[in-house]
Parts: sequence; structure tokens; C-alpha cells
Amino acid sequence: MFDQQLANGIFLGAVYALFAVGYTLIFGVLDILNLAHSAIFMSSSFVALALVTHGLPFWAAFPLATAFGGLLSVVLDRVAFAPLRARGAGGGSLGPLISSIAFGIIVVSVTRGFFGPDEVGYPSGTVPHANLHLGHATFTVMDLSVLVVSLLMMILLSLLLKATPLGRAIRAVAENAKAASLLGIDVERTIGVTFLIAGALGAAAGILIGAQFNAVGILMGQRIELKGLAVIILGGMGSIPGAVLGGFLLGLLEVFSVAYLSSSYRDAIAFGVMFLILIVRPGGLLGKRAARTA
Amino acid sequence: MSTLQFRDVGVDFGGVHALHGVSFDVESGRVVGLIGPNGAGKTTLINVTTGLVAPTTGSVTLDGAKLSGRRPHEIARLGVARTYQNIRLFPRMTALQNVIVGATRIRRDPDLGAFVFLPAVRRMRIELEEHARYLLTRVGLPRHEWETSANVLPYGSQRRVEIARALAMRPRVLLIDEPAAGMNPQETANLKALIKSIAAEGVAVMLVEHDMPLVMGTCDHVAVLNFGELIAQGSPAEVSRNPAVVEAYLGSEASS
Amino acid sequence: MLGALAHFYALHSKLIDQIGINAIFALSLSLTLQAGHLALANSAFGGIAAYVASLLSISRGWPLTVTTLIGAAAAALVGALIGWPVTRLRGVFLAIATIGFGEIALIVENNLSVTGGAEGLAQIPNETTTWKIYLVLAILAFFFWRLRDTRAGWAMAAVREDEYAAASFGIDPARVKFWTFVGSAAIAGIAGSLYAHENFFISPGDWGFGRMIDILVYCVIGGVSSPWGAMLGAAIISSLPEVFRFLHNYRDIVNGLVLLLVVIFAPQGIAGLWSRERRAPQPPAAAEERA
Repeated sequence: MFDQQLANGIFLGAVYALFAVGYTLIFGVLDILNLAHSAIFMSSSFVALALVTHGLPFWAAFPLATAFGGLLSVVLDRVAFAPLRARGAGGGSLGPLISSIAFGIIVVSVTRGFFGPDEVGYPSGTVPHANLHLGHATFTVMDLSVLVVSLLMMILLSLLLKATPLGRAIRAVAENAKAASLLGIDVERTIGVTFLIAGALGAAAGILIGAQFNAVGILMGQRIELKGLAVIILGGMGSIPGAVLGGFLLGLLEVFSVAYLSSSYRDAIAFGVMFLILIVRPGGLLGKRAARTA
Repeated sequence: MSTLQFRDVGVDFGGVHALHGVSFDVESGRVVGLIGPNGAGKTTLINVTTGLVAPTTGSVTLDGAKLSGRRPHEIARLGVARTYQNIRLFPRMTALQNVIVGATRIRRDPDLGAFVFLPAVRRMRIELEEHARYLLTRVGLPRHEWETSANVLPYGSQRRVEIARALAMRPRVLLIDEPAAGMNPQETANLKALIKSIAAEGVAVMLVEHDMPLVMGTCDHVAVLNFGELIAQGSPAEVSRNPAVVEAYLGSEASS
Repeated sequence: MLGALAHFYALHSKLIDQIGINAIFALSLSLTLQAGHLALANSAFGGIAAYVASLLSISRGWPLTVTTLIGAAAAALVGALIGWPVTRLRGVFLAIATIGFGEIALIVENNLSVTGGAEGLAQIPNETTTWKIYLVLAILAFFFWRLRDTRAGWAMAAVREDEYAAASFGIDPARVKFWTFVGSAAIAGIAGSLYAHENFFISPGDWGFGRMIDILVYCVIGGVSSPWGAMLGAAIISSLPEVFRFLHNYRDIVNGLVLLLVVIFAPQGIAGLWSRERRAPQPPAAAEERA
């Protein structure tokens, strides 16, 4: 029983972590809470499903739909955030937040227009659901794939940020955009690439979870959006390792609380934890930003 | 008679001593100048006084009441007013509105009076506005700028509004942070007269400045900071002859 | 003429009531926005009050005024309890904390048997009438109008512009945020109770993030810091589905597009287009000076 719960918690946590990393990346670089992230998560999942339904194998649809999410994210920046940046609105103000909400609403409606309001599943046989065993735990090939792909992407991101010029540029802009531009970094382009990466990560999370649970629907973005918030608060806003840690922690917490406590309050765990952290230690586990007013 | 006292004030930012062992007084009716090269800790000392930064050691007291450790709004309520080096007017409010906010602490009109249209309350509001206008006149802000949004006012005007706003509080202590930056000689001369008149009313004034003629001409007493430490204090004449002071300024930018 | 008005009302009374209730919700959000902080729990507070008031109406048959006041007081009490720690948080963290609180409230409502759980509460007496709604709205509008000129109103505006500078003039930003938060919970509670007694039936889903976004849209479109704008925004957005009935399926897209356009091109909202104040705030000359 414990083994099974542990496995379930890890698989759930992997998706949470992947989603949260995209969220926190934008916050870390631009000080903006991007509430359209969940819309990208959801719509990319539909795109993947559509591609598979039209004959593409799942693992071919995956990169394509991920790229879709990345591009949509770049469009999001161009349409919703860049004009505000040009006008000088700061990251702490209301504008970008509301802008992201608006963009998210549009994406959700368009997606619903194309795909309808119902939840749909992948055509049988397109997603590997063979069972595997490890210890006392049973899981599917898809579950394992989700974990592996999530970890891979997070490792790749980490390498990118630490070891490439682009990564350094992103970290510089996150630290201080003005100073970065004085150093010759093309800030707008770097921001655009950051959105591309964040969108791709969110899209990947959506595609994976949609396949894992074999359920893609309009509401999946809303459900995870607030969990994602809880994760980045838990891990520390702006911290990528924090998002990863927080994601896995939350996944485990949720699964274990359902198993050993009660299932009806499962979602309350996420928000309860989030609330607690905000009151007690707003910086989260690994966060650096000051969260209290002077 | 109000006295602002710094006693052995030290501020430690993660191993870096922004301030160390600073002690001096600012008394009613006197203008004390605080000078020093860039980065010497002058603005930090103001931030410590107003509560934005807590001192790691030492204390700041006003007439014996401890300021250090209190929250900024509490310190303000005790009568400590300041202007900002980088100007922090309320951007979308007009000059007049900015000054009216300055008087928030000392307003006497009860909030509930507004809902029942009491004439006495209305009178108090009118007085409030008149006092604000008086202050704007006193700092020399041209009338046509009174109803202009603060964020589009010319630089020199913004500085003057900041001073008027601080005065609206009827402060016991006024901390002015580099007010002369960007002013022409005529404006600087007006500023000197204004500062002296403020001190003459009994306010304890501390002036942080780089403009040496202004400091020497306005201040009764000058304190010199370098690398967070007080390296000299005395009359303007004494300080300008002090070799340690001269050396502190060699190599770093002197007055404009 | 009077006949035509009566006819118009008979046809659209539900919508007119809806606009009124939404305007009250919008005012509740406007209070905190005027103090410069984004608190996103208004829909949740509306729900708390709605449930308290409805349960009292159903079980004890108390009149609308009494149940609404008690409901609003309950919402204000909860607002004070969570507001105390929450309003000390910086901008985005405050917003997130309030979102989290809203979700918790929803989950609790879904799981308590007394609230009827996910199936909701039915047979709430239909006591809300149009004139009651608009009377409340008028009283609130009067309150907001007079608030602007009081010391409290000026303190709110100062905190909104620059809370650090405001503190250096004796204004306690945490206190301003706390009281506007509690006040907005109370007003949202009034709206919630009125809604419940208009619609016979409420369920937890009525009070979620979706409704919160609606309320936010009313305020943004009307003008973030203007109570008149809030009411105007509520009126416009609530009427849109009616006006654009042929666009029914695309209602959300229209909402989203309008919101986006307003935020980017008219940040002061529609009220800002009327106002004589400067509209496009330029980047302040001040750099951040906090330690």
C-alpha cells in the first residue's frame, strides 16, 4: 500500500513540478504571475489529442504539441505583456496579471469553440497502458514515461540555465533587466525565449497528464492552475529547484492524505499548505524574494 | 525644543558596514548638514531615522523617545518628516493633493462628519486645502503647476512639492535628502532661504547635500561621513579645513 | 411613456436585478483596489454570507434585511480573521493568499452537510426585489462618494500610489489594507445574500474563481480605482450576453478581448476616458529606494 501510494505521489508530483517550473520561470524573470499558463497547458493537450486522433503516433505528436505551446506562449508575451512593458508598467502592478487572465480567457474560449466542452480520451491503443511492477506498486508504461520525460525536461532546463549563454542571459535578466541590457543582452529577445521555454514546459505537462489519465477537457487548466500556485508558493516563487521540490512534495502530500485521511478534502491540502506557507514563511522552502511589506 | 540624537548607530548589511558608530545631534532651530562622498551612508542614515532600515547597533531618539525599532508610520507620527533623494511623490496626484496627503497625520476632521455634511467639518477641509496652498506658495511653486500631476512636473518643481508635503506634517524634525540636485543658482539661493526659514520656525533640520556652497552657507553644524563612519563634525569653516575631510573627497566626485 | 418603462422592466427585470447585484460585487472589489491591493476573495465572501443568510431564512424565516446583515457580518468576521495575516503580504502574495482562501472556502462548502454539499441549497425565499437592491446600491454609492474626501479616503489613495511614501507621512499601510479588506468582505457579503434570495438556489460553484474573474472584469473595464467605473463596468458586462445574444457561445471571447484591449489601451478603464486626470502614468522618476 505504501509503495503504491509513493509511486502515485511521485507520478502526480512529476506533472505538478513540470507545470510549476514554467510558472515560476516567468515569475522569476519578469515578476509576473502568468495566469494564462494553465490555458496553454490545456490547449496543448487538445492539440496533441487532435494530432493523435488524426493518425500521428503519440510520441510524434508530443514534440509538435509542445512546440505549439511554446509558440502560443510567445504570442501571449507579444500580445499581453510586451505592450505593457513598453509603457513602463512594472511587474508589481495589476496590468500584467489582468492581461494574462484576459489572454487565458480567450484561449480557453477558442479551444472550447474548436473542441467542445466535453472531456475526451485518447483513442484506444494510442497511449501505452501496459502494467509494470516494482515492489508492491503497480503502474503503467505511461506513468513511467511521464516521470521520465518530466525529469528529462527539468534536467535539460537546468543545464540550459547553468551552462549556456542563453541561460546566463535569462538569469541576468531575472536579476536586473536594466543591468542586463547595459551588458549588451537583448532583453526582449531573452524574454521571448523564456516564454517559449515556459510555454513548452506547461504544454508538455498538459499533454502528459492528459495522456496519463486519458482525459483531456476544458476544465483541466483551471484545476491545475491553482495547484500550480500552491506549488510555487511552497517551493518559493522564482525558484526552479523550489518548483520541482514543491511539485513532488505536493503530489506526495495529496496522495498520502487521500489514502490515510479523507478524499473529500484532498484539494484543500494544496490550498491549506499554500495558505500556511504564506503566513509563516512567505518565501517558501527555497525562495529568495521578500514577501512581507516593510 | 526637539533634539534628534544619534548614538553609536551602526547598520550591517550582510557583513558590510553601511554605518558604524555614528553619533551626533540635530537640535531645533538648527540646520545640520550631513556630507560625504557617494556611498558614505548618508541616505542609509536617513532611512534608519525614518524606520525603513533597522540599526544593527546603537539608537536614534527624539527627545528621549526611542525611534529605532519602530515602524515607519509610527516614527512619522512622532513628527519626523523626510524628502527623498529619488523623489517619491504620489505620481498620479496633483501637487496640491500631494501636499494635502502630507497633512494626514494632523488632520482633525472626523471621518464620520463627511457622511452627515457637518459644516464644521467642511470648514476644516477648507482650512486644510488653504494650508496646502500656503505651503506651495512658500516653496515657490508657480500657481499654474498646483493642479498638475506630480509625475509630469519639472524636476525642480517636484523637489519643491516634496518639501511642501513634508512641511504639511508640521514636523519637529525634517530630513532633506539632496534637494539641490539639478537646481540652478537662483533656485539654490531660494532653497537656502527656505531651509533657513524652516529652521527658524523651530524645526530640527538635517540636510544631506553635495552642493558645498549651499551646505556651508545654510548649515550651523556639519557632520561628515565616509565609509559609514563619522570622520569629522563641527562648524562649516572647521570642517572644510579638516584634512581628513579633504582627503575623503579627493578622488571621489566633489561638489557640482 | 410610463407604460413603455413598465413593459421594459417586466421584460428585463431579472437582468436589471442582476446588474444591481453585480454592481454591488464590483463596489466591494473597488474598495480594495482603491487602496491599491488586489484581494481576490470577494466571490468567496459573497458565498459565505449567502450560505449564512440563506440558512437563517430557511430555518428561521427572518426577514431579508436581518439575514443579509448577519450574513455580511459573518463574511466580515472571516475577512478580519484571515485578513490580519494576509494583508501584511506584498502585492502578488496577497492576491495568491486570497485565491487560496477562496478555494478552501469552496471545498468546505462542498463538503459540509449543512450547506447541502455540492448539491447546494434550495428553496431560499425569494425576498430580493429590485428596489431593495438599488436602495443598497444607492447607499453604497453615497458612502463611496463621501469616502473620497475623508482622511481615510486620502490615506487609501496614498497607499495605492506608494505605500512606502505613505508610511513616511504617518499612514499605516497594513491597517488601511486590513480595513478595506474587511469592508470589501462585508459588501461582497451583502451582494451574496441578495443573490441567494433572488435565485432560490445556490451551490458552491456560484462562488468560485470564475465569478471572481467576472467581478475583476467589471472593475477593470469600468476603471480600476473608480467606484462609478465599477458600477458602469458591471452594467456593461452583465448586459453584454443579452446584447450579443447571437454571440452567446463567444461570450467569453468577447469578455477576454474587451478586458485585454482595456488593459493595454485604456488602463484607467472607461471611467478614465471621462476623467480629466492624466491618463497615461509615466514611469516615475523615482527608483526603488527600499533597503
